[in-house]
Amino acid sequence: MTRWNLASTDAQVVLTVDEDDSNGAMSGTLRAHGTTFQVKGAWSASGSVPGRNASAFALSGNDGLAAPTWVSASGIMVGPGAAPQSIEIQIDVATPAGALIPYQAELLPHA
Amino acid sequence: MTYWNLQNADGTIVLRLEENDATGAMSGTLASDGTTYTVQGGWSASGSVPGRLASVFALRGSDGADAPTWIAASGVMKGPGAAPQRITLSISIASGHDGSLRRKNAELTPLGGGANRKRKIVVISDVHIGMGTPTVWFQPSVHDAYLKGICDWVIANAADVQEVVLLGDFFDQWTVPCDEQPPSIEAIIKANPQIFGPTGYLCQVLDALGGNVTFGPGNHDMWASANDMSFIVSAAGHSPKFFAGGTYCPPMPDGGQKNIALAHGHEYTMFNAVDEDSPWGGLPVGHFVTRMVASQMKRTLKPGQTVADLAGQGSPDGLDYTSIVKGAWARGDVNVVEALLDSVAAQTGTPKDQMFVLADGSSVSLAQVQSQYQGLFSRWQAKEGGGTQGTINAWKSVLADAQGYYMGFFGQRKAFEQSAEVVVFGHTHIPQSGLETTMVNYANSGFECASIPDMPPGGTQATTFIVIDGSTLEVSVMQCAQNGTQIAPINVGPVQAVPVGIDDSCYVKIINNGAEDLVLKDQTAAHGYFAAPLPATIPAGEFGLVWLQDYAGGAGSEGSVTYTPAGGGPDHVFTFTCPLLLIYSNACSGGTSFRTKSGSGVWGAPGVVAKSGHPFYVEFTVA
Repeated sequence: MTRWNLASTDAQVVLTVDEDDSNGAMSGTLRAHGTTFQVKGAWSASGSVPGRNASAFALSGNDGLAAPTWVSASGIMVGPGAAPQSIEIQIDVATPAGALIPYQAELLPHA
Repeated sequence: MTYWNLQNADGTIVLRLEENDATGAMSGTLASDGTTYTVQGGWSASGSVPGRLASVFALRGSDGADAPTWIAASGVMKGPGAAPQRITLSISIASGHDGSLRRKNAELTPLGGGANRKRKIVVISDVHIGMGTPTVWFQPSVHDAYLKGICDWVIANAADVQEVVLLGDFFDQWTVPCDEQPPSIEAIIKANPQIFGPTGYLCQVLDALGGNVTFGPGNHDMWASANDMSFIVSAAGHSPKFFAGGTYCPPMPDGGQKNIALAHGHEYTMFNAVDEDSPWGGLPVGHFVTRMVASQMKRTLKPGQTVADLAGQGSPDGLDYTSIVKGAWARGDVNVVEALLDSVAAQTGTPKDQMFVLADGSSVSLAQVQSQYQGLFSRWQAKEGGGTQGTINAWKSVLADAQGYYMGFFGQRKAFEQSAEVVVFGHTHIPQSGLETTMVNYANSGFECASIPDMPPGGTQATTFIVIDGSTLEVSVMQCAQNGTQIAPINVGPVQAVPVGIDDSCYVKIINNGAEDLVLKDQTAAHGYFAAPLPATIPAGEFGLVWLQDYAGGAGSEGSVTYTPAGGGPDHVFTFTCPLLLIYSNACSGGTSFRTKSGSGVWGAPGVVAKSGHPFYVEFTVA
């Protein structure tokens, strides 16, 4: 089990997930522009199987409120699974008011 | 549980979800530009809690390929949860193959006019209802409860059942002793008012489904006609619809290509297929076999006893056909039909001068029967193309009637003949679900007339039927137990279409996403043969299936098909190769794009050829 902890340089997007090497499952939190979401998903590691030229993942979840905001995200990770070097992430937030808000960010390792 | 089925205007994005009202969990598929992703997630309904001004959701998933492409989507839904009217969707796609990130946005509206159209197609076969005389497999005192249990289940689930299909051998005109005239279908209907009367349980199903019950004959009821259905009239005035023997493709819940093919299956079995050379209304040799067994039963049953009291009856009749046909096959004895008749006559104590009374009241002798079916094997050889392959397929047709061997092969053949992704047969009385390593699915509905000693708890033969989800094409084998009071899905094994270790076939799917129909122009088979007729036309928006089978002991399979747009334009040539020897690689070309897999592997990334492994699968897309 490895923890990924990466953030955008302006700290508006922070991804903190535990990933399971044995099956690629991921779970943790994705913070986007002030809202923290509990997310789950999975990833596949580059090089582990022929044809996998990039590490990629998808996540979804919500903020746990009674009127939840939902989030979905997919991304490309650069670096080994045990120590990601960067993540390019696309995020879509759906609010309880019915707005769909897209975000995109580059994430780097976060202390 | 409700179902969301929506797509965008050009059909390039299709969302099919099952959502749980209690928990908000969602699962299903999201198709985008020719790739289908399995997704899961959750949603929250507007108005259900203060602050929820809109219904919103989020999903994630992948395409399941070895080098997966991942998808994430968030959306806003308008309309009630039971019937979404519109979805605004934002999609994000991350490719593990090339490291690309893409976005798509779409507006989705209901498929086929409604998001909660009924999705389930129920298939029931091999009930074998007759006059209730002791030699008939369906005994009302034993089997009514089970058939009623199935009907009650259909009625309870009528909100999601599109149709019930009675897939042959629902009636039985064969399990009748030689010296008795088989009853008419009309007589059987009138003798069973608990089933077919205006308030009988089948008629209750008719009313619950607004008349959507469809009947097709098998071999034991091969003379049933559309007119016979008029003798079944429900309280609300519905009668079953009728499809003439052959294949029934039910309309899909969401419209579009009919890719479920239902057939009794006896057409592929040498002993029970309608025999066009038979002077007795197409009766096959199996009819006379069954009659001889019924006569033996009549002689040997004790007073008050029926065949339902004996082990091995109904499944079908306790005779050992397997050793007869295997023995003939081992000897290479093409007079297998003659051997069958001789053996059955001996086993059942049928005298040489036995006469058989037919349904029309005429009589034929055993000698006439033996003479009529001489050469049946040779006729099947010729029908299957002659030569070595014709002989092999003829033997498959013989073995198909002995324990259902090779029915998976014929099920696959039916799928490719019909360009269907799901095929369901009956006939064998053996429930099955799944085909190993293929691109189509096969299932068998089993039967409804197991004898008492064969049923649980003493035996393993259960009453089963099939439920197909017409939106996802998932097939469930359902068991009806405990005198019809318990109905639940069961796991039954998949079968092989062709033993995988020796199958060097090419299985090809051509998806026509273009604007014009594609018309077959040419075909070549440098190695192997086309095991099912090629689609003459692949309509725009639909797909066609091609099966190039290798010859036993040959060089693998290699071939091509050429399709041309109906309105003119350049031809589309699709080539595919699955060589026998490992020093050569699988290969393919054609289409706007393709993906491949081999053996038990998963689909690879677009444009990547699975160079080793067999059989070889190719999915071409024409844009």
